Amino acid sequence: MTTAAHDDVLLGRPSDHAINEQLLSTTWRPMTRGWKILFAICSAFTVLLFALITLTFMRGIGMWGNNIPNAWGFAIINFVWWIGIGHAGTFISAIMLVLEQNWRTSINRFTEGMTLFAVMQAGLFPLLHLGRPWFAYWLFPYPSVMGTWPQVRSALPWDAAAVSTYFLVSLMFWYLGMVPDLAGLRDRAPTRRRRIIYGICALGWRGSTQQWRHHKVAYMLLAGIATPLVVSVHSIVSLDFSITALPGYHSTIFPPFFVAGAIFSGFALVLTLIIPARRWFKLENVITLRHFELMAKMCMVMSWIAIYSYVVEIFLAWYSGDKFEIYQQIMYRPFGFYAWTFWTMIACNCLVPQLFWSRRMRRNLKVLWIASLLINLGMWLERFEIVVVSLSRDFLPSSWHTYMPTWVDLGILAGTFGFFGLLFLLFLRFVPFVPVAEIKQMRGELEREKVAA
Amino acid sequence: MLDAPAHPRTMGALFPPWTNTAFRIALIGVALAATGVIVAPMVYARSPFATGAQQPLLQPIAFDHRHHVKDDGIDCLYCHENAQRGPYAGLPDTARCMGCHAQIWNDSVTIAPLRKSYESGAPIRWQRVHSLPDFVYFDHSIHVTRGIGCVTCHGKVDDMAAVYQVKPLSMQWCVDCHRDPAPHLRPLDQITSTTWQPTPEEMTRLAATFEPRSLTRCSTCHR
Amino acid sequence: MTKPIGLDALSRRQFFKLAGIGAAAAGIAGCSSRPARDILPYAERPPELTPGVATYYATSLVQDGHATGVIVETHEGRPTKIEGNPDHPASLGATRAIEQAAVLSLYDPQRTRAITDRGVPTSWASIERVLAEARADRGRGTQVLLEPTSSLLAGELLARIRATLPAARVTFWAPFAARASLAGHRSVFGRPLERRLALHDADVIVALDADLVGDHPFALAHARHFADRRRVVDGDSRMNRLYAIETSYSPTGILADHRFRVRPSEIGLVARELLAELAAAGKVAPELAAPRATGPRARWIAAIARDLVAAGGRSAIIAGERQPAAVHALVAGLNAALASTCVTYAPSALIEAGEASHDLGPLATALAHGEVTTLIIVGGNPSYTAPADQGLAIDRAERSLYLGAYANETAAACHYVVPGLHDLELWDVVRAADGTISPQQPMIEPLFDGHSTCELLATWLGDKPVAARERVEAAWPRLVPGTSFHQALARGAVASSATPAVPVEVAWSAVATHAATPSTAAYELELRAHPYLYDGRHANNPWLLELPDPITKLTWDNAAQVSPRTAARLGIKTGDIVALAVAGRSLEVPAIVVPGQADATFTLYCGFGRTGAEGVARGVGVSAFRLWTTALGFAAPVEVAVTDRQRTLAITQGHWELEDRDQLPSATLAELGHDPRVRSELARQRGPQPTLLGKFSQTGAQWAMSIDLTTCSGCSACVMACAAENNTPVVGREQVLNSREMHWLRLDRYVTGPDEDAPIAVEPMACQHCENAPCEYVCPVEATSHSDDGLNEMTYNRCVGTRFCSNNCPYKVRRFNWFDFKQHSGLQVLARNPDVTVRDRGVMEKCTYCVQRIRRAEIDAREAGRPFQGHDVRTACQQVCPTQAITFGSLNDATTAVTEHRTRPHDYAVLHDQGTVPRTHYLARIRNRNPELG
Repeated sequence: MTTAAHDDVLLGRPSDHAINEQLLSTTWRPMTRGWKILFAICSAFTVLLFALITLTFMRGIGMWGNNIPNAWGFAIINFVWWIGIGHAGTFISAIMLVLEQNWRTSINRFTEGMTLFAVMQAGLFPLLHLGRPWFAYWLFPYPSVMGTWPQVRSALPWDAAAVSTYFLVSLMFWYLGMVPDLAGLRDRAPTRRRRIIYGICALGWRGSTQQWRHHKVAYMLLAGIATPLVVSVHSIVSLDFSITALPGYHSTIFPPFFVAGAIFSGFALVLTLIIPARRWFKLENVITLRHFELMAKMCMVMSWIAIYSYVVEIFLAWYSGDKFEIYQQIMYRPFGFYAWTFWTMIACNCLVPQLFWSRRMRRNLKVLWIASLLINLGMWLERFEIVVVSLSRDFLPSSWHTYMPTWVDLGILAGTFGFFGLLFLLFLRFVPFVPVAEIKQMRGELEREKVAA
Repeated sequence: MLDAPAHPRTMGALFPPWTNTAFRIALIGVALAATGVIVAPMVYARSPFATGAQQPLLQPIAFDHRHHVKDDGIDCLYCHENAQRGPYAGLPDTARCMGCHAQIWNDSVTIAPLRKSYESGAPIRWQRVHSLPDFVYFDHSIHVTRGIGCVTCHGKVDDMAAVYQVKPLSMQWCVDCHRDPAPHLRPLDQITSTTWQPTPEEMTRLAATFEPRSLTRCSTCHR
Repeated sequence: MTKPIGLDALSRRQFFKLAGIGAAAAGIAGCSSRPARDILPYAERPPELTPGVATYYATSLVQDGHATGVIVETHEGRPTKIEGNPDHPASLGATRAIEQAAVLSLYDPQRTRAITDRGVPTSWASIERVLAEARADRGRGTQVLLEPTSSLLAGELLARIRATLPAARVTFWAPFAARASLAGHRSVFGRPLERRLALHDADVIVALDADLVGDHPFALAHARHFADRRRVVDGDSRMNRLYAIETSYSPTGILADHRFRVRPSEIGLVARELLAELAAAGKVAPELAAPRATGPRARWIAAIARDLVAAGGRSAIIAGERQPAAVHALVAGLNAALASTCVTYAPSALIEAGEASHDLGPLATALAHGEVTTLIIVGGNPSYTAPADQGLAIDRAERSLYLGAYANETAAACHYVVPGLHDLELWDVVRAADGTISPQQPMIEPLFDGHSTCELLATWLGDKPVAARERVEAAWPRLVPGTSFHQALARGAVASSATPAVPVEVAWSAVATHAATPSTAAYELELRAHPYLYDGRHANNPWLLELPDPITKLTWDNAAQVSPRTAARLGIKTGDIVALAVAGRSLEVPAIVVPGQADATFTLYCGFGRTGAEGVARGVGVSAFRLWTTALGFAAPVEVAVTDRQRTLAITQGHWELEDRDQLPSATLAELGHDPRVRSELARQRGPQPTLLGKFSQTGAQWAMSIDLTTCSGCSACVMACAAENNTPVVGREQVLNSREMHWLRLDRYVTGPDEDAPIAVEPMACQHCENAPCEYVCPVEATSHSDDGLNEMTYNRCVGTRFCSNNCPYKVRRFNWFDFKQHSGLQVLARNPDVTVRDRGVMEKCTYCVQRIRRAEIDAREAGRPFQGHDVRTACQQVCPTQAITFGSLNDATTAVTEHRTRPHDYAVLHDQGTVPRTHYLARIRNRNPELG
């Protein structure tokens, strides 16, 4: 029996009208001061982001800390991290849908939004980090007057394809799920202007049985398409590293390891975002402690996959007997110039989630929230370990050199947080971020199960 | 299911029937735009606007190749002699022009700039018709001495009042010939001819003499 | 951040005037797809010139009066590249880094551009007036300061000056010109003779603080002759043996089979102790048998002595010019004792070498006492280079005139400044260090209507003005009778015109005068000419400033070299600023810790800390000349005070250790002969590797390189030649600090042994052109790909700059244009090679095996209808190498040296076990150790 059997995923039995009032009104209720302040901050960082992007385009990526041997740096780390964040969203909304984990319904719109905006941040970096971004389109196969095609043995064209596909599918999935609620807004929004705008966005949704049937089919189809993407996208991203010959890069474990890590960080960010949102919008009855418990458990599972991967990586380095691997994995990472990043990563990714063995911790939102932040930090550092630490010490000692980010690197990273936050705040403001129709449906199911019981 | 909208505020339907049509048209429009964004640049890149072909340039002297080649029967290599010797076919120096024009048409207004250059020693600023990007290395002599004729790339210049670029000079165009040069070969005594037509057995003989290689390695042109 | 270094924009018209016309435009333009629309034919084309085809002329570059023959590549009248002249004995086809960079100095924007009187532009006429006055009263009160010169024209003029203007004084001076050796030899031979070396005959060579392959005027010939005796084919090859006894590491020290660290003042003692050993062996009078070496030194001194005695006449002992005269006298005695046939003596090629006129002292005094009415300084930069105790008070002279090519400190100090000429702009007849007569002919019209030394002297004498060429052509039959001027020009030298050696008789009484008591000071300071900047004359050349030092790998700075042990004792590390005080004069300079430096010594390069108008040189490093006094010489006791300040030094290779990886194997000749372990260890690093990838096609030419580490001294000429040939940009100190230098070729140097004498081996590292290149399959756009003749090609215009290739390159030899590093305008873009694309911002670049030369040779062969040989091509690095350590050719041609090198027992590939199958192989560093010393 599905988790919906536990009725604590929806507290009380609010009427349709109550649900509408509670969940739709967020779009026209005046926003709190907190929202406005956050909005101002995020806008400021977004401006910073685009200023620095312009600077980078004008002067060249020499503005960053990269060098030879550290030809990749923050841009790639941020890319991998943001794209990873997205995965939890798709995991929750697509895979859990397919697995009929009904508790997901309360949070799936929210996480899909997160996915979409995270992928937008991630999408910036592959373009930004190019030496000549104006030629980025050469990565796509098209009949050119040069008579040349992309290199299919390289991971990067596949990367470009995967990320753009992922973005499009996530967008469609998110929007399709939202259509009925947009229609709801069209019918309930206070002003005529809003009703017209929402009306256009609702694409003429009437809620007829036929439309619902098509909607269900399309939604399931998209879920079906999105499901393999969760695995494929980050696997391809991981190939950016594992197809190389570089110690610390060329590791066969990367694809599954990256996917797990992605979902790990994704769930963490969901927690980071949803805990305050639930508070502000008083959704305690819709997003319940049970949800948090389940998400905490997911984090713990993913954390253990990560731990396993770390152990395997180090073991294989030793087992391979390859002196370059051994130096990189066993000597340099834990004890070298960047040792502190390694140990912080271990603490955040391996130790912190162990809190969730205790039910009290799983239900303590403060603990959850702080833990989620630490996990996000840890996952970012994991990518730092892979991208930078491997490069700074490779085969020939003569070419060794360390990497230090510049203020531009840091500014761009901060800027993406701002940009992400901005988009997310707008999302909270203008669309129902808890799927109204599905909540009603779930309530129905719950009632039926009660009767049955 | 959504419960029926019961709003006292709504006056009639929010969207009149025509909006359905409008919406469908909009959808088609979006689809077309999306395709256009991708296809249009590809078309443009192949058009003379981008390749610069078919556009005669205004030269400081209205030099007519038809007259010099057809009427006077001057061979290409008489003026563009470096085509055999170096990478640049180049233009004749003022002295070369004056070789004839000291005697004939020496007072014509058309060649006033020529006389000026001859007296002052300052070069004539011609406009480059066939110009390759700076990252492309092209060597005339190896083509000319290995059986590739002028007309193959420059077209029938002897029919041009003002010279213009005939071929796109795109990489695709270069590579097509570099993949299989054999069909473009001609005997060395026909290099400058614009009318020569090969016979099949001649082609095989030429292929045997020049043994052309398919040179598609990048550094053939990019160094 | 990417400020183009030391450039002033030129107007487009000037630009084209200078550039020469027509096709040149294509050469200079950058890697942008928007080509120049104008095309300018000549009004009258020079008959010898085909646009786009380089022409080559022979001429000579001069340093301190000694000529090095070079061949200059010019494009449409624009010198772009300098090669050594194989027909010239001082070059033998090679050059140093300095000659390679000379082409950039020609286009130096800070050259003197106009005749000025106290900064105000004036005319040549006014100079003629000044010189006329200086002529009055038989030249009384007039002092002329010249750089040491061997010019035959100048010789004639000076003779006339001595005759007609007896009251005028002429002084020849340059800081690092030979003085001590001549004085020493005068004391033993009675004449200031110069030492000549026949290193191809020497079996045992002892270098006493002598960088014979580095800073000697005949270094290139020495290097070649030395290396020709070290071509190890297998364990049975015969090798010469080099002992280097020096304070700080030099290229000679790198080449040495045994290297010993001693303090500068101990060199004399070592020489003395060697003499004592020879006496004990009955080679010289027994009264010279003291003092015998004691302590740890005794062992190796005795061993070296025995080795020398065994070699007998086929040995050579060489003392460096930094050592005092007495040491040179001693060494002359040593060579005489051994009856060495490898060391002979001949008169110097320089005018009045070793005479009183080569002493700066009298001029300094005369100036100080205000006895100079007219001071004429021709070339050099005495205001900067004069020793601290002989500073020139130029302002005390009534009138001062400077003729020089660069707006340096001296130019600033003089009233009148006359633009001088660069070696590539002038006509002259000079001599090489062995006396070989070498003509100089201009490659380009003087850029800033400069005047030559001879013109100035002639004007002083009141001669009618003569065109430079006429001057030489007219004088030629007189100066070099019985030879053809034009043949000499074509060849770049007059065959067999070297001055023959003279028989000498050693005055033994003069030999052992050296006190042989080393300094007791706690620390000693050694001052050296910088390997690239020399005495600072090249300090405005960004190529040379960014060229990593052969040993320390330091760029854009000078620093006090100190041994690890001494650094530990003083508690300093690289970058800490120390205050060095010599005889009350103090200087603050960052320290740099260098293995192999003698303990309790500091070594500091001269040539930095320039203060003239030369924008690039100004403010780079500190001037070591401020610690140099003629009283103390180049080595002096020094007080050291450690400050608490630091300076980050732009060092391109911080690591000295091999980190027990086997990228640089080395062995002794004996081991290579019959130590199965060593042989198998080497064998493990070559040969086929198991692979899933297909075999690379081996048809047609298959280019490959082989580098012999036994003869690589790390002199860095190859790095400079590569930069000059391939238009690699200069990025500046800030970028080097962040490891963004652009040199395609780097010289990795590692300490290959545990002992404190720190044996160093050098491993040139450029693109290895792997058959299974890791960079190729990761490039998303195939901007780097493999050619059918085995080149790893880099197509700049296809590169989008993902830098994935660099990540996957195990050798990290790829360079990225982080900014728009290329110069867009300015004089120095004229030095560019038009056959190589100038790279844009955001593209990757790397060694191409000089593909432009390969393709050129291919085209030439096909046009001429002759088969394309596997040795038709020489890369820039190979061509310049003084020891011919680099060989290049086709593996598919059994006659090439590369193919043969592959069969030698010490052939190996770096990171062989990675399976990249590099086309560049190395011959392991082989040392011919003295069995006695193990």
